[in-house]
Amino acid sequence: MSSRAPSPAAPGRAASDPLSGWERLKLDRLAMLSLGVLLLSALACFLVPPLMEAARNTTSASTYAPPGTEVSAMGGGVYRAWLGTDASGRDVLYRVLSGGRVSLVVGLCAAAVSLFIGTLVGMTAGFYGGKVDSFLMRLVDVLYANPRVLFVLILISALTGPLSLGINEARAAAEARGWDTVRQWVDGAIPYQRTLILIFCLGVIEWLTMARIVRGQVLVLKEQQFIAAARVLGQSRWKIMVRHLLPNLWTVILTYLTLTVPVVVLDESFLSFLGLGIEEPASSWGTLLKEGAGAVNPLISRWWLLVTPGVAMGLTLLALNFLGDALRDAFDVR
Amino acid sequence: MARFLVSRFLSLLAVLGVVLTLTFVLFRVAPGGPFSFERDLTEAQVLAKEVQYKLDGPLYRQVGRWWQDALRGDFRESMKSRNFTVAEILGQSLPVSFALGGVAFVLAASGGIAVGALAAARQNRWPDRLAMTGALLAISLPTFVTGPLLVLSLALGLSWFPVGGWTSWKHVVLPAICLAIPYGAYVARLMRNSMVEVLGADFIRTARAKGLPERQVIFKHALKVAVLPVVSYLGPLAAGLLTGSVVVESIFGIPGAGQHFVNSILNKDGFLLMGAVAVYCVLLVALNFLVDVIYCVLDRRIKMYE
Repeated sequence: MSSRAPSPAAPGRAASDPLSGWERLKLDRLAMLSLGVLLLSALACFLVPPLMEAARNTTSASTYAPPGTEVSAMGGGVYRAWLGTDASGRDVLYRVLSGGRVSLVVGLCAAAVSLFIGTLVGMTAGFYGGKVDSFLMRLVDVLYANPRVLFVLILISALTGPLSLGINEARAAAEARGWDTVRQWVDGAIPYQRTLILIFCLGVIEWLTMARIVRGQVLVLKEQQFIAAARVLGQSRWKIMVRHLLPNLWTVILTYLTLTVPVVVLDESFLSFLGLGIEEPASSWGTLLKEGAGAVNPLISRWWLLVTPGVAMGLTLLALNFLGDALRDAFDVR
Repeated sequence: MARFLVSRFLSLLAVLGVVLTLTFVLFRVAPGGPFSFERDLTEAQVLAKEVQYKLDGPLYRQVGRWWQDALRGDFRESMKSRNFTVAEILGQSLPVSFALGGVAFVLAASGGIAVGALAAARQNRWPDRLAMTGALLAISLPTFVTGPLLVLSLALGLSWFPVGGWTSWKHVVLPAICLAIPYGAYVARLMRNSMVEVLGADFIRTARAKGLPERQVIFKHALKVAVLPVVSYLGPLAAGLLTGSVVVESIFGIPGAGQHFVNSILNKDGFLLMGAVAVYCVLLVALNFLVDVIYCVLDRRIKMYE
């Protein structure tokens, strides 16, 4: 990549600058700590739940057991609930870790969707300029003025029906033609309908900032000599965008991907709080926090139900935000 | 300046028109229309219902008739809560949300600006680090975590404030703080970054070289310029806060307008939804315009000083 384009970190910066963006990032101790926390949190969410006793995910008679209680599950199996149990006697630690998996996957996928749309719109607007640019940017302005939360709610309530209808039809069609593998695939997708809708809707909502930033960066880049050179050589617009602009945009994209994930995870938790997000028996940090918020009441406060997912989500999002800020500073993205 | 303001005003009006029309179209196009909750309606009955609610005919005429009514100030009847007009429902709940949002706005704006300015004045030292870490944490936590935690500590633990309800001034404190925390944190970050930039500017160096005391440099010279980006964020902030946060209102049991925003969508109560979106958008547009006016005034004064 660097063989045909200037250093991606430094459009317009003096060539004598001794430190590249990555080197500056490595010197940032807070950013490295955040990266460590993130890796640890992702590893814990993805690898630890399968290694734990299966009994932790089954209901037991000891509902709302405080942290540290010995619990014997319904189907047999005894374990110590380090962080207490929930309303159905399931282990809170297990649920928080497996819920984190859902939250992180939704966050990453939706951020990827938003990144795709945002980059496409931003690059098109910035590179083509003129009427295309002003139309796309007015569109972004109008969408910014829309109450975002309402928009997501409308989209979700509009898409839920058609998707399940479509899945049913696809399943019937596959069955009629005897395509067993296809039918199995479709069957596999049924429990994830809500998650798919969430990923799509949140991605469709959160691309606005990305589009603005990418457009700004493209406006700077397209005046540079290597783009002019590519034009003089007669390369097509598409090729210039993909081969020359995109490689120089990836630090911007990485930065805003890091900053979009926490926003999306927060949105998902908000929707789950309203009962429109991830549904039982699957759980995300949002659904767990909803249960936790309901468990704080004047009579008995089961604080562990709120504090455990709260700390897990707070730490992960804090680390993502720190890392995103550090990336933005290191690569000087505005 | 007048020309700039007029063109801003017109483009904001256009945004208002587009957003409301878009919402109406989305609500009408979405499958499972407003009458899908009622059982086994024949086609004739559906048509009769549509005529009753003025939702018959082609889409553009439906939109047109809604706009005609809305511009006359008639937001029609709620489709779900019979016998209540949208104006009545919103008229009961909006004042509550405005009171809560107003207090939260003052808290978020003043607190955020103060914390941001102080952090910038102690740039890269521990007060700065502490404040910015705190702000980031506040942004990373949803209100349905901070809310119950506030209740747990200040209401249940220390019994300073009631747990929920909406009768005296004491009931306003906790929800307002809870609502203000993430927005205040955002303002603080914005303020800190802009202040850091301003403190590196030439006119600040001149002020310091003149031998002005640091307090005067920061509060009299730097603050006025640094606050500008924050001012432009205050418009959308106020619109969001004033129309109420669904989550905070449901945690503290406050009869505000937030619930109507969500319920109108879940119940497919299109006219209530349109009323709620109209209030939000009019507020947003009006406040954005106000911000533009303030910006013009502030900006001119700064140019005079510089």
